[in-house]
Amino acid sequence: MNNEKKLLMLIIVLTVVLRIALSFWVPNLTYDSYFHLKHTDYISEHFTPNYNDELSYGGRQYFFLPAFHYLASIFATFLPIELVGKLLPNILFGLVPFIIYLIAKEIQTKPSKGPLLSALIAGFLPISFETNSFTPHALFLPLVFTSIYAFLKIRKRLFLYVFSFLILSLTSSATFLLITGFAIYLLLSFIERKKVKQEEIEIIIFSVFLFLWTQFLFFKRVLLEEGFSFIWKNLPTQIIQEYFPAFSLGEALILVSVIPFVVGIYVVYKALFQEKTEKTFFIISVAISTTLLTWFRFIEHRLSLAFFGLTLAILFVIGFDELLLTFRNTKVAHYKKIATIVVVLLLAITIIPAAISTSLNQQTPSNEEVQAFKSLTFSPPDTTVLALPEEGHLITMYGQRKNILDLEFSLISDAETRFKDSTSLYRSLFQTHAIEILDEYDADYLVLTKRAMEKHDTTKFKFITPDCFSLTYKNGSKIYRKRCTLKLT
Amino acid sequence: MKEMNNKINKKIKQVEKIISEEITRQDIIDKNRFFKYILKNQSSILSILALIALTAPLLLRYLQNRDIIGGPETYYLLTSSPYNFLQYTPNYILNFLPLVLGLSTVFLFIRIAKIKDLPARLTFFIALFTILSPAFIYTFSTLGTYSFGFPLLLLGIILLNSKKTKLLAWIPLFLLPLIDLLTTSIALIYLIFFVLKSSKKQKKVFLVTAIGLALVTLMLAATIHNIDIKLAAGPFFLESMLSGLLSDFGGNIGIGSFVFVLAIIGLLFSWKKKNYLHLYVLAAISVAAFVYNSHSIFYLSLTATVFSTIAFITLFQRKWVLDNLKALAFYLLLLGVLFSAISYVDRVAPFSPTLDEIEILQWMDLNIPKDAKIASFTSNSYRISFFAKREPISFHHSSLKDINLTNQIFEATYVQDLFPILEQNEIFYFYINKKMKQKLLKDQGFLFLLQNERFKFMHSHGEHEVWMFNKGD
Repeated sequence: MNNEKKLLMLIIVLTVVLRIALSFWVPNLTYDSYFHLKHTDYISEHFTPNYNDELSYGGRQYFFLPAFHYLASIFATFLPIELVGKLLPNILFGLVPFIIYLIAKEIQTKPSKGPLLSALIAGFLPISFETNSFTPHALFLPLVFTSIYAFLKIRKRLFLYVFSFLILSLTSSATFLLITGFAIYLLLSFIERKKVKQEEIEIIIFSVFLFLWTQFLFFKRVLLEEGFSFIWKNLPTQIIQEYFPAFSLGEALILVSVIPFVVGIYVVYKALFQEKTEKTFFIISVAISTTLLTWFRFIEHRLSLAFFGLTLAILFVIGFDELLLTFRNTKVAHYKKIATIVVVLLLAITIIPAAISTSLNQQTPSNEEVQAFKSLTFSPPDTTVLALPEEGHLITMYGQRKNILDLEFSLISDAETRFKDSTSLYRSLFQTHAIEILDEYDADYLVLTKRAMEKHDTTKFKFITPDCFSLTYKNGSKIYRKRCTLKLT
Repeated sequence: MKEMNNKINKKIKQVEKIISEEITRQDIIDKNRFFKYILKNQSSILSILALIALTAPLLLRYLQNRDIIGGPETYYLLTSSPYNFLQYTPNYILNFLPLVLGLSTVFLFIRIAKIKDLPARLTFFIALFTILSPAFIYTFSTLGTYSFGFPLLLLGIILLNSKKTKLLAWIPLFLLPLIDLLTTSIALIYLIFFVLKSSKKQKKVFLVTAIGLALVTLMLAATIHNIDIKLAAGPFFLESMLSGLLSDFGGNIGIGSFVFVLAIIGLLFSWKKKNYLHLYVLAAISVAAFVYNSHSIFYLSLTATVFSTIAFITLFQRKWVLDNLKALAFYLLLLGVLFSAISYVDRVAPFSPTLDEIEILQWMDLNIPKDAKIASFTSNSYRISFFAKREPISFHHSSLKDINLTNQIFEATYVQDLFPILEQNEIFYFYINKKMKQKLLKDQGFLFLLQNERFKFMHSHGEHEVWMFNKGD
């Protein structure tokens, strides 16, 4: 094993160890993870995905791409599900620096340590350092870059491409990023009068139809009912801004990190308007596709930023090689090694603290809150529970009880009303109003966690009185049982 | 020298043979025995396929206790001239009329392909993609202007191209202006192109037909006012242009997504090729017509089918660098088109009302004053007009004012808003079906307001109801 490979191994090991350590330091998993954890658990028991969830929204149909859940369920057969939730995404993410290294090596013009730096950036990219997130993005990111790598060497890596693209299409609809990347690649090639290789056209056509086919197979009903607006997942207008916010340069600079961002943008500019290097053309197309889809709010903000950041990490290699070349022509050329160390240090200083900070600032439920949701299992089996939308999956996962709403709004016709009604309860002063809403959704229990208190700036439900609501649990979080109902007289 | 030439010629022939063998080896369609058989017997196979595709929605409707050929356009057609004579046709004939027209269309197309000497595979795949298209399944599983217009157009083209019956072509072609102006324009474009291409003798006939067609259109438009001449009938569904374009994204007719993507590839392949000029003109007219009236998607779908066939054949006829991928892509595409068609068949059935609904609409015919206006969702207007023989407030093709009136009624949340609207517009009868109950909120809005004492429940059957509004003092 040569030094370069040893260094690469070190980066990968460091990435995985730091990620896993942080994931255990931060309690539990992010709120959206519990949806995926629940379905992984179901698959490990029943071997098929549960598309008819009897607990979510009091019973609903929900379709999702199951590749990630199947992969996780394999581990869940011999490991506790919470442990799989913490380990698997971080191990999968450990593959990203390796794949980025391979792609950077493929596109670099002269041999240098550049690909290692790309791997370093990829491994510690702040935006993707959500160590407690158990979502299909953990599989999506390594797979999408595997596909890109295989595409660049399509004649030799056809099988790898077909396999990774198929799994990718069964992992996340965000594969659309790559499809748009292909379209932009063809368009740019046409504008630049660059001849696209026939094998590239063939693989692009195949990919487009394979992607369409898999999406229709799983989302036929969603597409028919929601049409093009399925992109926005039927999110209520109040929270759509959280998922699809307007592009902010400042935020992008922090989450992607300053150096890769500036160097990446410079490389894109140079490649497009000056040098037009053939090998970077496709990577640049992918970066443009991400920017456009984020700009038009067609793709989830955090995922697109992570994808964009990793693309810039690849392009960093070109910028770094150019920097070295310029450096060689100066009077201090013999300090080349020191210059490399300075770049590494600068990268480490700007990226690693931001990555750790991202991990420590994740939104996860506390152990007390999880305990509160677990206590719901002692309630009658057909109970419906009200909590924050993000806590909906905790009700169904730990409490095994029905919720009024959670974060998966797709195919819910009254999502907006449910969101408004449930939010109004945290501010309502009137008991009749509260009971009317709770009756409407057949809800018997209300959970007030610390998060809910902070979010709605309150310490209690203001309409609660002992004659209509009994406190059944108190340990930081409070759980109330409704005892009254409204009757027409 | 001669020997040398012979040797070179022999060598060239050998190379040509190798190349042709290589092309045949690469061609999935020629290489596959199954496809060879299909291409050889394409007429019967396409007919069977069309029969299955068109019978399936009829069968589904029968099993779901629905009107067999019902749909908004069917009821529109049966109540408007010159088709209203069909109302008196016995049901057992009427129910099979779209199917017969659909099968005739397939036969006529195959005949044209033979006359024009189109390659077998081009004919087959155009017909296959057309039969599996939502536009074809919709058009020939209900009655619509295109169910009559398109076969007439094809018949006219066949007759024009035969030596003995050229003049007979005037009959179907001169009937086209009665159907719609879009089909007539397409016929005119066909004639213009063939006037330009044909010999002197043929030119005369084509020219006379074209002028005749234009004159008949103008005459009808100018003089016969009781015949409603339109660019295209409809629209019969309320949908945005974008969702109306693709059936897989909720379009009620639309184009299948696979065919749509293939059509774009086909357009790129054929771009700037002179022999496709007539296709570009057809595409431009279809797009413009679709933008003007989303119901004219039938011709846009046909154009997309032709371009998608060009893409399909070009793609799979050429040698692929990634040879292993070729067969996979081929079957993926065919399955995709088939999948799109199957999922559409399932959706076309509910366009027709259930027998319960028909019963209650016929009850309205007997029990509600003849001049009464009926308030209901606009999507129910055609069935109200046909079965209840009463005037609904608005059709999809009505003025915006009428459509807004319907929206105001069903979006009202307070009696103070609703009652003045009803009184001013003299609307006293309401038809509420199952779909409306699912869409409207139970505890607020119109359904909640029905609890007011001025509303009187009149009749119900199944989950459909008729309500009356008291005029008050």
